[in-house]
Amino acid sequence: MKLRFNRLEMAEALRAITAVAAQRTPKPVLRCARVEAKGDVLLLSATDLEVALRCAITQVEVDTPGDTLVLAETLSRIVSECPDEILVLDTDGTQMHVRGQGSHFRIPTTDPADFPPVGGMEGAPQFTVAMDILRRQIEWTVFASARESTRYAINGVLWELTGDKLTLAATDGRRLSVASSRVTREEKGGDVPPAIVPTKALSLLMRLPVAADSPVGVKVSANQVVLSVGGSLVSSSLVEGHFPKYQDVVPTDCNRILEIATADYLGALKRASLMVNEESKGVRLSLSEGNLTLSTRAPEQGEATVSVPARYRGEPMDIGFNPMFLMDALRVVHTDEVSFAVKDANRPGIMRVGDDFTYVIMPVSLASA
Amino acid sequence: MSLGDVRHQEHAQQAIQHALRSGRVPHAYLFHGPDGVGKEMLALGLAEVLLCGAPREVRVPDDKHSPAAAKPVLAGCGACEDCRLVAARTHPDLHLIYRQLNREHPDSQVRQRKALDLGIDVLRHFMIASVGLTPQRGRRKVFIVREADRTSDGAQNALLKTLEEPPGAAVIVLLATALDDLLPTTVSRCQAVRFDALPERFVHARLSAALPHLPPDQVKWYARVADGSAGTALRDVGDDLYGLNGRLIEDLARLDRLRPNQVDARWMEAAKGLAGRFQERDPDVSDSEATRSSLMTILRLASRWYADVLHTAAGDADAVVNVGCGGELRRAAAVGARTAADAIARIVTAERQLHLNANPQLCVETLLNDLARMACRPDTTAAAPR
Repeated sequence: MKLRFNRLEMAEALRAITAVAAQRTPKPVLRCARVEAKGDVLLLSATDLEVALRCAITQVEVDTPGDTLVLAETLSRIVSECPDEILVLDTDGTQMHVRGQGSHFRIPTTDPADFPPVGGMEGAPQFTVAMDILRRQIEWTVFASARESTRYAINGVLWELTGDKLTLAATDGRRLSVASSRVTREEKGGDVPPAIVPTKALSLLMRLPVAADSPVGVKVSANQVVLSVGGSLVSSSLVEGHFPKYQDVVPTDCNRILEIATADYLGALKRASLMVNEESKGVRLSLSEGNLTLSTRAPEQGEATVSVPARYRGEPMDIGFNPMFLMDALRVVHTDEVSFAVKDANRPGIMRVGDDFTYVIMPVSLASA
Repeated sequence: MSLGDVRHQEHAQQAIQHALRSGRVPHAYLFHGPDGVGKEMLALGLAEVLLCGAPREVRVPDDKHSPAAAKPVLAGCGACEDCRLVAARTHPDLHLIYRQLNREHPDSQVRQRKALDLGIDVLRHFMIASVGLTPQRGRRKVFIVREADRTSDGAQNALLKTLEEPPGAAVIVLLATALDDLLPTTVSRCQAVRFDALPERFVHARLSAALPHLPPDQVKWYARVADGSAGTALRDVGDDLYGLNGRLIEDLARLDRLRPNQVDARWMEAAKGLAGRFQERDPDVSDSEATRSSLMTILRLASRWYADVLHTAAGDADAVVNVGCGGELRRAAAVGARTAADAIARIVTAERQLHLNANPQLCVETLLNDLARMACRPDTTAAAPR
């Protein structure tokens, strides 16, 4: 293999690659990046057996094609530390040489045959969606998913396509976050089965260095999801099991509606939650005409009462919530105002932003609040 | 490592083949039996056939009925990419879980711990977190847990839910030597498959194939001492137990003329040397554990000597292990069969004491005192006819 490449493009791709390649693993081959030169493109890939990433580097001149494995971290450091604009890479036998102006690195390579095959996108994607829209949907949902639950199905974010509406849903059993958007379905894309995507793949997608308006092609099969954006391909295993029927959880009869400025609400919650500890995790929301009062009390720590102006229609009432759960959602909505609807003190509350974001949260018992 | 390579485990092989052919492979197996008889080999063979794209039938010798006849066994093809990845241990859907995995754990505190048992952090990170994901290559996910009997109670409890109903395509194989060391709740959630000791001639063949330069008399000795475990035999060769045995029986044969406290100092010294070798092989073994297992090895050799004495006294020369010591054996056999049997029983008692964490030094001292007394005592049953 012999080729010359643009250092900056390569360095950016290698940063993403090293984020995927395992740092610590019982299978040493997983610490490697696969470097494949063919035609006029250089492909870099890495996998940790859950998600895999393949980046295509296009600003290259390939003299001799080839395929090898090197330690991802090592190559990444070399490429990011060199000052040159163009670097030359070649291999001989079991060594890879990286040469720049006045520098020469020689690193050992490994046989690519032992590298687990990284799934590619076979055929066309089933649908496409703009990166910024998908990222917003992911941001709205991923925080609500469970971590290390033995109810495996909720350790990920559900992707569901009905018509041209893509719905992402996540829950940890105490709250549910649902975000939807319109996508472009490809002809011959066929049916898209519902898929539960692990959060690792989603956070990788959030970090990929691609333009906000680039289209993301999505293909879901029985055991994996493949996302292609720019020159990159992210493939991930799916979570096994059946996601709970989340539609049944979304209340439809909440008639007491609170409309409040997001920043005010978030600030008030932050202050009120200073008086919350492990034993009393609840904040009491007292709703009355034109006003929202938050009160908290922690044994041996103190009490807090915070009032903020708000538009509220309906009878005065009190309801308790975990303030962390409220703040998690308020941090990601990115709108000036949110609407929050409740029915009574032992029914779930619901936060909405337009039709695209719905957040259902279970109340906590006020006796402990 | 194909299913066809596992020999002399008719019971286990049959259970696996039956499950494979009926298409109903249990989600959790518990392979239990002595060390080094093919549990992991069979587990890997099972993984290969489950992950292989085109399993095929191979014909293997029928060890139970007649080795000349062949019987068909479903096994991985050994040629496809999946089989190749299984052989290289890099198959994305094959997960080997063992206690030393803590060194690869993201938490540095877990990494610095000594892996005395298979801990909850290791199990959570390497097994429970990935068991719920779909297989990368689309078929099954196989988890093989080595030394499952050394799983901490907390880790076993954390695994119960997963063992009971692993999601989707996962198959879990626990490998254990002693069922008693597992929680009953763990055992009841798995299909237990028993593994038996291997025939001595098979261990003999394995040894001479693996170590062609080992002198034939040593091959014979190691094969006989290993009690039907090919793995133990190979490890014993590495530990040079033959040499150690020579020194031990020299002491045992002259026990009636030596001062016991000289002997026990020598034995403790030997145990220390052997323990060092054990720890070299597995640095995650505590000092006391290494001393205990090295003493257990020494006691195993000692009881072999008395078994030989017993055989010689009974006139059964074929069963003797230490064939090179005919003269000493005949002299020692003068004490009679009953005393030799008493000595073996006394060694078993010492083994039990060690197992219950008795002080090793004290244990060896009292044992040698008793053995020396027995060596000087004429056998009452042998004397009776006179």
